[in-house]
Amino acid sequence: MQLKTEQEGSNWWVHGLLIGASVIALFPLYRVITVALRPGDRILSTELNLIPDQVSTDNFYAAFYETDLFLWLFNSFVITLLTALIAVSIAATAAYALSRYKFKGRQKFLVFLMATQMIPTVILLLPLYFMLKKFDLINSYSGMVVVYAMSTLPFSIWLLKGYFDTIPLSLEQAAMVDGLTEVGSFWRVVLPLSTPALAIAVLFCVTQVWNEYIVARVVLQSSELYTWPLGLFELQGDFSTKWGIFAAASVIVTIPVTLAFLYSSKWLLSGLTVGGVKG
Amino acid sequence: MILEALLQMSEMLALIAGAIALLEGVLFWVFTGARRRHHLGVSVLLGLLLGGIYLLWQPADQPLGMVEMVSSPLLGVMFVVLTTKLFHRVQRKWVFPILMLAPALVCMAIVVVYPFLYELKLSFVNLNMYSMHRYITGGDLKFVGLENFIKVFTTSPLQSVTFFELLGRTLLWTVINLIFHVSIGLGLALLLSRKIKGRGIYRTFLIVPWAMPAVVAILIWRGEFHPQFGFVNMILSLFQIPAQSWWSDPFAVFLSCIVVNVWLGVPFMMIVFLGGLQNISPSYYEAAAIDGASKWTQFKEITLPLLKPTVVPSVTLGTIWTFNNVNVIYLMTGQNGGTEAADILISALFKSAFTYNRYSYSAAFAVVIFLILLVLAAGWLKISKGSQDAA
Repeated sequence: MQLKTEQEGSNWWVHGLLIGASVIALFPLYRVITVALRPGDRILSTELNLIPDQVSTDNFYAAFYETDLFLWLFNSFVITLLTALIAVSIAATAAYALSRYKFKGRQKFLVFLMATQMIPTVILLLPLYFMLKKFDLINSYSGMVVVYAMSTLPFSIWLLKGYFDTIPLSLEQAAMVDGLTEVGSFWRVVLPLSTPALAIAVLFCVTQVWNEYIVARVVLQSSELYTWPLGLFELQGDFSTKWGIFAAASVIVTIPVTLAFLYSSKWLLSGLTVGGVKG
Repeated sequence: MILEALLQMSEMLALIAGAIALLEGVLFWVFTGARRRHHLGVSVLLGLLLGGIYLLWQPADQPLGMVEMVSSPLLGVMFVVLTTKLFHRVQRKWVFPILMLAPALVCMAIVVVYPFLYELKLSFVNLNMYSMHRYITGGDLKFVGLENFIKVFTTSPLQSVTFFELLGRTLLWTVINLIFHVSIGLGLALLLSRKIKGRGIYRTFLIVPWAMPAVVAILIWRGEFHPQFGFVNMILSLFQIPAQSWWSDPFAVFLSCIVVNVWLGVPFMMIVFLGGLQNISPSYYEAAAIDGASKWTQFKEITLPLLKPTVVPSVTLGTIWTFNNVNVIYLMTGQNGGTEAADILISALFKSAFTYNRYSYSAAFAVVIFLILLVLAAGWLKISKGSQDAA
């Protein structure tokens, strides 16, 4: 469905506004790419030329070989993978129970989950920090996963519950008549049917965790465990000497993620509505 | 290195799988065990197992006392035996959903409920950098009553900025950001919903600020606000505007944070509104056009009311996100001290806890912020209920 407008010929001003907005949206990214491509002696230039007159890949070389960029990306990858895996598995079973069984306090629990989404992690970060400290989980992947469960679990439960609600109960009843147990009908009937929702839930956990900075700042203190946001912050802090390397590293980190996001944005947006429609 | 990480990963997965299996096993036994033979024997074994695991779980650097060694297995046995007796009447059909819910419930208890209670406790004692060592070694803390809460309102969480300044700035920050997010987002969505060439390309370009990792975007912006080498001042100089010191002048720092957050937040609103606009059937507009309604009337009478179901939840989400936005401010103004001119409540909380190490103080501060959030949420619920009744 598209809106019909009669003056299709005379909408140059629409293009003008949209081009202007696009330039503002893209300019920082474009600019960091040109900074990354500048040769070393021109990193800090005060010229505002749009096309660099000299191009060099020195900064990319430095980002690969002189920083721990790969280590940071690897750490981020491990933490993201673990969190998504654990959060979505725990959420799937809980969401199924919440969707199929009407018990006392069910609605209250759902509201409680929603409410936790309103509390920012920072509010509970201090007690969580002491708890992790007590169990010696500071500076470990596990500590990160525990804290991230707080932000990813409730949303995953809501999203998956919304999807399970749309699967007709008769399917499971038929399966149970055919001799499957409750566990069996969940595992063999409902879960395979929910692959799209599970994928969206994983995608959400990934987008939440991959870019996270604040929790990582507190929990990960040794530089071997840094995730890439911590690493980039370190590079950026040293503005005068490492600006070019920072720019190159940003480009390396940004381009694949941005492309992946643009590619998957359709599903991400459908996920926003799937979780919210039913209560 | 990779091998080590893999080892750590599988260790963690195994640990969690084991914990869940234990939880499910105990629960299953509690609900169904009492009807079987030898149930007392199995209960005692399970209780001993639980007590043993509790003892192993204790941190290694704290020696276990004799009392604990004896009491924890005993408590474990008592727990399993008693709950088995207590819950064996639970109907068969409820066992499965309870077992399904249990891991999530336990997880939420560990990461939300317990930390919250712990925070309450911290806010009434005197834990700071100096009493930290004694607390860790001996565990003794002095109860100080409401002292921390009084301090939140009378002394600065950072160096000089007061609580009320922070509160005012947070409200200002939220309102300004939302006004720009909604108006620019709605404007762009209206433009994009027209039938023009290259819609898809514009849409892709315009969501780039949202698609980029926010940390990278903020750090790039911070660099570009550099007084001498960033493009912001270079562009300003093209218009003969003198260079601003974006990194130090209080007003400029706050302004730069707002610019960055507006830039980051517009695409989300745009996409949500675009979805809402596309759900409005064109026949409304056709009917209105036949009746002679002007474009403006159509917008006011058709677009806005029909967009409301999309606007209300997204504005709510936007308010929460903006109110709670630590990333932009913390990354823009830097860590260790730095300027306080742009701090809002949440970022000040983070800094007072982890830069200045005022533990009990920031626990009380966190409770206060939580109460403010609660009031906001209650107010919002009332408004949205009211509008639902009216509709």
